[in-house]
Amino acid sequence: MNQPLLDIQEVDASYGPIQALNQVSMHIHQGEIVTLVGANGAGKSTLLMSLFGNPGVTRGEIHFDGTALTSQPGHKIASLGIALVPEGRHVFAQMSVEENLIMGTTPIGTKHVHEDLEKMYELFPILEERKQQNASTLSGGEQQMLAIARGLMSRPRLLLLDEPSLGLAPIVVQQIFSILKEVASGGMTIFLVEQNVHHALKLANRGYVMANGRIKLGGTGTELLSNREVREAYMGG
Amino acid sequence: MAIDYQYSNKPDSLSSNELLFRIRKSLLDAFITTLLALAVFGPIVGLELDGYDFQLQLKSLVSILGVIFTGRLVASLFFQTSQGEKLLEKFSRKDTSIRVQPLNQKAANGYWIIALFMLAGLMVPFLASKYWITVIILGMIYVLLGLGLNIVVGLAGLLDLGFVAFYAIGAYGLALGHEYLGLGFWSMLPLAALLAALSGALLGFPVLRMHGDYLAIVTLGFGEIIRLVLNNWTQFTGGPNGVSAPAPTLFGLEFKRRVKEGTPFHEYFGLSYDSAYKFIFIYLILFALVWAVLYINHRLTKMPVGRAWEALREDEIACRSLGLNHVLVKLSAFMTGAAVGGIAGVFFATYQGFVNPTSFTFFESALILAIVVLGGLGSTKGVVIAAFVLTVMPEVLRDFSEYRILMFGLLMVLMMIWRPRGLVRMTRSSFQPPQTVRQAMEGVR
Repeated sequence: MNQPLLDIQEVDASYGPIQALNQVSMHIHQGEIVTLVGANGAGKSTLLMSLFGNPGVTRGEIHFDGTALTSQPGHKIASLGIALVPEGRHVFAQMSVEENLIMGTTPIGTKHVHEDLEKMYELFPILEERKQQNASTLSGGEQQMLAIARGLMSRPRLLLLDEPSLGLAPIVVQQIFSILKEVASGGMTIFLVEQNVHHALKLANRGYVMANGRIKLGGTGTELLSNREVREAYMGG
Repeated sequence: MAIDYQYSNKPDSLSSNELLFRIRKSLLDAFITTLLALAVFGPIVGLELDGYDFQLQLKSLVSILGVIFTGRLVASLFFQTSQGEKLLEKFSRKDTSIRVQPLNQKAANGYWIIALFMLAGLMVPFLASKYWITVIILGMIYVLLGLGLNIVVGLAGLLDLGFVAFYAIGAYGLALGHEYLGLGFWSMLPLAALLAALSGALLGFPVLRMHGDYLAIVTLGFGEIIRLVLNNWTQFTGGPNGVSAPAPTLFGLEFKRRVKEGTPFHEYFGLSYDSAYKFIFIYLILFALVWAVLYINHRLTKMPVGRAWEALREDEIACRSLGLNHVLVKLSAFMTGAAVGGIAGVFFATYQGFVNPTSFTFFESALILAIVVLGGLGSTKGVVIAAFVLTVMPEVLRDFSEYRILMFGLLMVLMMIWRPRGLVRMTRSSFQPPQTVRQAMEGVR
């Protein structure tokens, strides 16, 4: 393969004196689903946040399609074609579902909004049923779907997902992952940060395992799933 | 639905047994309330200090308790009738969210109401007495202040407890601009707005990372700093003695009895002198300006920047993940709000003819915040109503001026029970993608 879409090279980042990322290197190619798994506090979310410059990267480089992200201000990054679906959903509670989706077009403007709304309603039929409702009235799973759809509204080239399964019932998690599979089959590049190792590794082409701010392991999803260390650490053997 | 069903099955006439039970329950309610009232009013009203002694004022205590007992009895009897229950049900509904008007549903056409208000407002200065004109001017100044703070607190969700600072900057801007630079009302009006907006940005920068309580404390400090500077920088601001502020002029005509050069307003038009002319003039300018600000406010909420403010209030993390520049969004909210506050300050100064730091205490900030909260965070209509309620009511109820703060408190408590989102819940039309695009899409299909 040629140049990766997202290329992270030996990145360090810290919160004050606490070093959260230590020499993290990874890459994602166009059209891949890559997952990053690891325990709480391993630095997974920090890595996503550092793409947006908060916390700033103290050493190393991040390139997105040849552009250095480290030199861009945070609000410019979304318009490069990266959409982040934040951990804990963060929908606009007092806005209707449709308004939430329209907010998603912020980085690219409303040129394609009608077309894209239709696409999202096709992908998430429940959102169409609820499109006039305030987002605060949705269930957790529906809110997560809304957050994902909102991210997709900016027609990103890379979709970052931070723990989409957080606090959801197993059946809803399954639903979300099957939707992600559908999104990926359309050619979307997805970077998925997850605690739910089993689901994440089954979905992903490749995966990385993170611990204490370092990348410990890397490999294809099935490789990692059968890896004894990973099984012991995350799935109780 | 379940409730309606229950009521419709109720027999029209109650059995005597049930009626007795209801009366007994109401009596019990009234008795408990009276006991509570005795505990509250007993020491305050019932005992009167007389030197080192005290006297029992049984008569007034008993009359107060009597009123409370009968009031509570009537209320609980009423609330047990079907009408009363409906009323209770209506009030107890907790609508704590913002009403969003669906896309295809047009807002009720309120143009004639607006026209009516405009006409009534224009007639006021020619019908009302000078006293009432000044009261309504004060009301409108608070409408401006409320609208300004509403942008910061109601729309952008940034709790600002020092809004009075911008009010002071506007007012002192006019007074000091006149004193040192010889600028009049008309040149200072835009300059003061600009000055206030700049100080809004000055406040905005250090508080960019703050939320909630921390933000409130810093803004509170900012308000106090401005007041203390005005109070203590005696050579420049005149300290506690204050500065006089100029009155507005009509194309250079002044509203004084005698002027040093040129002709005063009343001579030019051949009228006899009346001190009310100045206030009528201020009223008319202010009236026009309030409408202008209302219109701008209305437009802003529909523009991308207004949407961005609301999005910021809802969720900052989501905003940033969508690539909104939160620095710009916050600063624009602070600056727009501050500019409106500054304009209100200019009018306050010109209306009083004099400013000193005692007009810009924390109580003022609290009052403006009360206007915004009482009116309903984010609701323009509500803010206008609340501003008039909180400024005109104390004038109407001058005889009860000792109870003013008590009434404020009572109003707030009642509001929190029945109208937690303010008198008028914020309503806004939902986002609408550009019309042309939709038409084009429909054409394609």
